[in-house]
Amino acid sequence: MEFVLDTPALLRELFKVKAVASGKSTLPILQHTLIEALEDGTVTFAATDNELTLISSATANVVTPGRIAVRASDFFDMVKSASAPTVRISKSSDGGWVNLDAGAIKARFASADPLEYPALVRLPEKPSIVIPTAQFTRVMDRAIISVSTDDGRPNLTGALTKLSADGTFTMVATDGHRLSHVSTKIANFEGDPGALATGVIIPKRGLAELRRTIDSTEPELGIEVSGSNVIFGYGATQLSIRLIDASFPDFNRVIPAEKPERRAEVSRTELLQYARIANMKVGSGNEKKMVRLELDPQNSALIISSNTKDCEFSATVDAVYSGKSVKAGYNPSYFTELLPVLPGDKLFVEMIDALSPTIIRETEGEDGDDSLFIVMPMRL
Amino acid sequence: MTSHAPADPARRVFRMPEDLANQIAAGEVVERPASALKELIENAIDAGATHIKVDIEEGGLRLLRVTDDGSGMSEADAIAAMERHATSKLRSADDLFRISTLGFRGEALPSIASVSRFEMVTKLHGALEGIRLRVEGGGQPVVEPAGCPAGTQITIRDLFFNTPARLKFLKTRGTEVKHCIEAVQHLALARPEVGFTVVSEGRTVLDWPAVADRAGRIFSYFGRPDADQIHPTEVAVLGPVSASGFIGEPSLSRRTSAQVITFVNGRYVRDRLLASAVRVAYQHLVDRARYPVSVLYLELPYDAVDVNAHPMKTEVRFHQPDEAFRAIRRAVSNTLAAAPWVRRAPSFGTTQPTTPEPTGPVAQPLDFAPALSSLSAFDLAPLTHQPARTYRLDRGSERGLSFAPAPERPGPVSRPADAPTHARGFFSALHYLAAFKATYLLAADGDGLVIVDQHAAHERITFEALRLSWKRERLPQQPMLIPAILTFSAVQSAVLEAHLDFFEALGFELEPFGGNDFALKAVPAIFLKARHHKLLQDAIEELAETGQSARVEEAFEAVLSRMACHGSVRAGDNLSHDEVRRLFADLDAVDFGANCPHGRPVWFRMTLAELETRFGRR
Ligand SMILES: Nc1ncnc2c1ncn2[C@@H]1O[C@H](COP(=O)(O)OP(=O)(O)O)[C@@H](O)[C@H]1O
Ligand SMILES: [Mg+2]
Repeated sequence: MEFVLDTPALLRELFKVKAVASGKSTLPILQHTLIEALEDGTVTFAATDNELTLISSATANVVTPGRIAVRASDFFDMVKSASAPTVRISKSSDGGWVNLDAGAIKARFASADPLEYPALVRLPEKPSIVIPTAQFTRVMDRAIISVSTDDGRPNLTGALTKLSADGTFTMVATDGHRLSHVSTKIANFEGDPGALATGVIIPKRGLAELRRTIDSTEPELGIEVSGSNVIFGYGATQLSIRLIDASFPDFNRVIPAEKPERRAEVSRTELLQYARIANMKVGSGNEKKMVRLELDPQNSALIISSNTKDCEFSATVDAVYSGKSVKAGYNPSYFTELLPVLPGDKLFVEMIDALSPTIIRETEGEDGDDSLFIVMPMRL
Repeated sequence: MTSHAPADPARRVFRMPEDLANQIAAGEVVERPASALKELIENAIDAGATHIKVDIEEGGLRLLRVTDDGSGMSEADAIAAMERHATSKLRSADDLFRISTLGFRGEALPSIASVSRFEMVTKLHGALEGIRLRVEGGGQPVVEPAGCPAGTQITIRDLFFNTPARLKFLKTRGTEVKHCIEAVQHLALARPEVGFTVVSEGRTVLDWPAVADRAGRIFSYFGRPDADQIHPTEVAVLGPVSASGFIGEPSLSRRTSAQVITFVNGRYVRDRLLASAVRVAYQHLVDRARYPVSVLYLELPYDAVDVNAHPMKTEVRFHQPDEAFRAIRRAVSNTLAAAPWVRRAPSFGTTQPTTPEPTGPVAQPLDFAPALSSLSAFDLAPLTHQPARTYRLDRGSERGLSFAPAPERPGPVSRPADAPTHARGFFSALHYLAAFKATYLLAADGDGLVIVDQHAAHERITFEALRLSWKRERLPQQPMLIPAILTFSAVQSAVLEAHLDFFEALGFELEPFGGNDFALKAVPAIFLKARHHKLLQDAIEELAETGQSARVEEAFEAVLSRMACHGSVRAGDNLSHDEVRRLFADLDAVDFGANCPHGRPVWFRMTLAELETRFGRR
């Protein structure tokens, strides 16, 4: 096996597989990436840790087709320091070594037996679902912030992902205290939602890997649910993620009915700015980490405040509001995590009372988007 | 009684009504069911009983009954006994200096009767008929004749029914049962000639026959196989003082001091001085973080010790403390020195710096509990879930009272001798340099390098916040939008169920959800991002373990400290400059002198002089 590839392209591919290969598995073979050079000039790079499988390909000058398996992180580190424009990779005649030739740098790596590599699931030629990448990532970014990291509640460690036949794509995530419910309408959707019709739970780790490797210049994203995995295809890359086998809680019960009279329209950037101050003032270790919001219909204002032993702070921002006066306290990080991923300058805040869930809504989502966030106030 | 009516408006000082005086006394004598029980058993022992039976319902709050075959009382004596300061055991002030009976203050019965529904059935030996006497929450006793066996049976129902504040302070039923059993064990260890039976909720949980000598009782207490590793000590005599007892092989050592049990003239006492004498004797044989097992009896002239130091009579004051200290130490160390069962590994003494043996009654610092043992701690099932008909003696060895924390007990900070003492503002004033391995924060003060372990520091801060919240100031609580359904093992859920009030006080809202499931509806906000199931399991494990042996307060502090670990930044977390600043500011508010059960050192300081010495500049 022998091929020549542009150094940046090779680095890009290795960067993608490296994170998966150096993942959780302790099986030695899984710390390797499987590299396969094909007759038609494509070279594929694959890595798996049994939960995630990433396959990616690049076009190269393939001299001799064949397969090798090398330790992904060592290989990446070496290529990283290569300054030559291209890298030549070949297998030694006895098959035990992989030679790397990049101008001044020459190296060889022990090769594992490619036959030991587990079989890889691939995305079908024509996936069942195709949706615009931009719409998908918008939804994912807003959902992922609410995913739980507590493995004591496995069903919450991923985002519930659904697609209805009319093209409404939805992700729901919660850590038990707050919830993101984000959806978008895919124009002219035609296809079969399959298992996505009832929804699957995609683990946060998989979503994060997707986010890391997704190519936003690629207009479309293919999705296929196959057995207990979901496979995403974007450009020359595909990522297969093992789904969480659990049932997502019935979140509909916690979404309060829409009540436009409780709704205040405020500036997202201002709210974010002051929530950040509150979050900072009450940084690590402080027991009273809380930001208070108060809707004041008399003055058409939202008052953001926080108190600690040695600092009190409040800020008043304009609010379009005619409901009752209401006040509640929250963990400031809810706002500092959520508000940056929302678009537009305005948002709606819907407060019921100091103990009931509070809703944050986008005012003008991008085409077809509809997002809703619920946070639970704190009790003093 | 109208003598206290304000006839003269200028008079403002009056004699208290009798009932009020009794209730106040009850506050001192009767802290919890176990303390009432202790008083009743002492009376039975003083009355010469050969067998004492104890019944407990609902941790003693619903019912506590002590039945003895002692002398019994005449009608007149029984009525007199209900009066404050009525005792058959002391006649003059001189007697107070040579007390041989367990009781002497003459306040137990009226105190208990003032805070409960009290009933006494008693008959003198040889009398034709006995009497039944009832008192409800103080007041005049109602007496009627009764047919009954010789001896006395006292039944206390609805203890604290008229003092709700006291009732509120009590912990769960399970905890109270545990304290009751410990009280019986401690009394029984001193009186092998008396048989004891304890029945709780209809189950016999302790059944110790009368035996000829202490060794027999010790055997009942420790049970097999531990009892095989318990050996009698020699008798150490020092002037008028003598000490002897039973000590465990070093390998039997325990995590808590609960099994360093001491008696003075047959009275169970918690005494730091005697406990430190035991530890000094075991020095180098038992790891510094562990405690030996021992039951020691100190005998000395009645007038050489003041047993009237405390209403509950669990503390004594020695007129010659160092004699007492030396007698105990000698009994233990001479026995250890001669014992064929002590294996003296050569590494002992080299792994630890040898500290000179104190010559007087030196308060040996009590060390902190070592790392927690694994989940197998659940083998120490809580009392409420003991399947066996009889009290499991091997478990009994895990019980007992530990010593009150000493005021001078050092914090977990290895504070070097030359560290600055101006704690206030010390950390805030530091100049933060950098983090090493995302674990140790390096900072400088005037002429020293200060290294702070970020996890230990934050854990300590969280612990303080939790302790405050538990004591008085509630922490903000973060309710769940979607409650978590948590599944526990049968034992875990029993422990949790028994301590729900404790978790609630901290801000956990937990509701039984059928089977061994609980719905978690809210958490303290500081634990927002913690792993709640794991956190609760850890806390339960700690409760099951420490709760068995330590005082309530110590046990809960141990649990808080265990929880604190979950709410804290970890080693390896990258902290921003702001976060470090905040952490330092919070550290200034931490009372490092206070006890933190699992605390590790938080920081240390290296002086410029030390550095210069290392680099050969000095
Ligand atoms: N179980 C008992 N058997 C015989 N006499 C008892 C018993 N309990 C109490 N008494 C009598 O009642 C008196 C008062 O008891 P108590 O209030 O406990 O005071 P004290 O034990 O300090 O004398 C005792 O001195 C004793 O004479
Ligand atoms: Mg008494």
